[in-house]
Amino acid sequence: MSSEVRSGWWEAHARLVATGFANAMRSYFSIRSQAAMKILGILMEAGVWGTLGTLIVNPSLQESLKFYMTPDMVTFMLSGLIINRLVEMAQLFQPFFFRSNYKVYHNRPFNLWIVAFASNLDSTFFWGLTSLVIYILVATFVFKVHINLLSGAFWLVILIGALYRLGLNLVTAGWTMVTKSLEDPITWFFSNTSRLFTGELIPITVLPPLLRFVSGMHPKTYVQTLGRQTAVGGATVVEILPRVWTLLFASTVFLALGILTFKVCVSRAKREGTLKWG
Amino acid sequence: MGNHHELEVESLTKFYPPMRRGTVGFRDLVDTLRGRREQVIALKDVTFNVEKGEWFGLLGPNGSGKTTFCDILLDITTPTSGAVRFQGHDVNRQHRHTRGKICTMSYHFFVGRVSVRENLRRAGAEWMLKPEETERRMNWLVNLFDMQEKLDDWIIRLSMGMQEKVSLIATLMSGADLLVFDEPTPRMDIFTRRKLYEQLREFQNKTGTTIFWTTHNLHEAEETCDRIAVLNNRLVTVTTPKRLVEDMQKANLEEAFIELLKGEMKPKPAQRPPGG
Repeated sequence: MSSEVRSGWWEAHARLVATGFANAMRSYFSIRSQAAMKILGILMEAGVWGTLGTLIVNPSLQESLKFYMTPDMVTFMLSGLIINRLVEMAQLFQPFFFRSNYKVYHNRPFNLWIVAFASNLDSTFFWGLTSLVIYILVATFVFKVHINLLSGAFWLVILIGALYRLGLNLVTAGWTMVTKSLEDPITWFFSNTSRLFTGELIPITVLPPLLRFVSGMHPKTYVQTLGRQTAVGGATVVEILPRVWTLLFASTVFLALGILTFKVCVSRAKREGTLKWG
Repeated sequence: MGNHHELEVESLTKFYPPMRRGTVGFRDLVDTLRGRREQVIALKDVTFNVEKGEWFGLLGPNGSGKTTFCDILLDITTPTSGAVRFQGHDVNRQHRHTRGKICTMSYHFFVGRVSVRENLRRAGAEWMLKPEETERRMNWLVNLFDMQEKLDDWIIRLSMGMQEKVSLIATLMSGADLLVFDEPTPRMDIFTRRKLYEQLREFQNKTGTTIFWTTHNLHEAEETCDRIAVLNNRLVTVTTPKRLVEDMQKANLEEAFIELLKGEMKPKPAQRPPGG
């Protein structure tokens, strides 16, 4: 390849990300009403959760709220939704990229993971960020919720939580490459049980013992608890350290499972010829 | 084998596991666990070479293994045994050495509600081209294929034939050493096809690019290909179109092809591989 016609490595990768993002935005905003409806939808959703939280004033929940270091239910719910959005946004790629685009980019002169990351930036990251900003603005200015997003301990928790999400994404990417289905059973389980069992909207302390056991298996439970304790309660890294190890262990297990699943599935999809489907 | 050939195909064999049919019975499960499931033979012991700068055609009836061969070449599918080497590197086991050197017209990602121009700029970025080089190649190819007026149209507003042209332009823009065309022209009109053959030949002469071309259109193969391989899950022959016509004593390639494959027993859809 001649350097007269080809860009350097960094320049080429930067252009790949920039052109992908620009085209995704052009495409999305080509129907402006769609973008406006989406923004309004997010605003209303945040408003509904906040209002619901304000309406729940139950003295029996005080102990649970104390555990999360949140003063009231509206803070509990909105901080939970913000933490969940942050973890979801921190994922490096969308698993469905591999399901349909592996064959497209496999022979390009780029690292496939960088292409996947660039593709994720295109629209998922944009809308994730938009949704997060709207939730933070609504929580802060409408419902007067105090969340310290500058806490280092908070970001440590989010970062480790993102590793867990990355592991799940790898499982989904591998599974959907082989089967061409939309979801894998593991991610299905952890996604569908997320709202009920992780303390995103319902404190886990109110769950029956058996369901609380399921919560304990869920890495997001630790992200939600520690995230609130640091961003709302002001807990430091030293204070949360014992539970951070548990979260780190769970995230590492998920990441290892994800890498293994992905490798096995790519190999199997190539053997069975299913990569070109979808 | 030395590095004399641009593409070397050596004893390439591919068995696919049978497709699932929705439900799996107990016997299927036992057979799978014991390795007794019958497999579909796509390619068996195929060997041939392609030279640099050659326009090589792969011909064969439906289900003869042409697309499987292209998928192996692109490392989308792995062979059961044997190897395909491009510029001396195994395309499956040493893929990092061949990445960026092979481009297929089949796989491009275009954003429907974005203009042809912006999609082609993205295609240039996907092949690491500098912006000025992307513009130069895009303008040259767009003029070549009479697409100037469509440059600012959204992709989804184009006809299927026009969309194929955009894929073709993106493929040629890549500057890859090997261009793979898996039945590229079914939706193109005869004028576009004629122009494509001429321009591709000119492009090839100028750049020394190797072209790998699979087609059902035997007039097309006769007109364009320097050499052809005829597949029917195994290699039937490798020759030039002219030579095949002469050998079979027929008027054209289509009749020679029919004669060649007359009496060829198609393998049964599901066969057990040797030793399987």
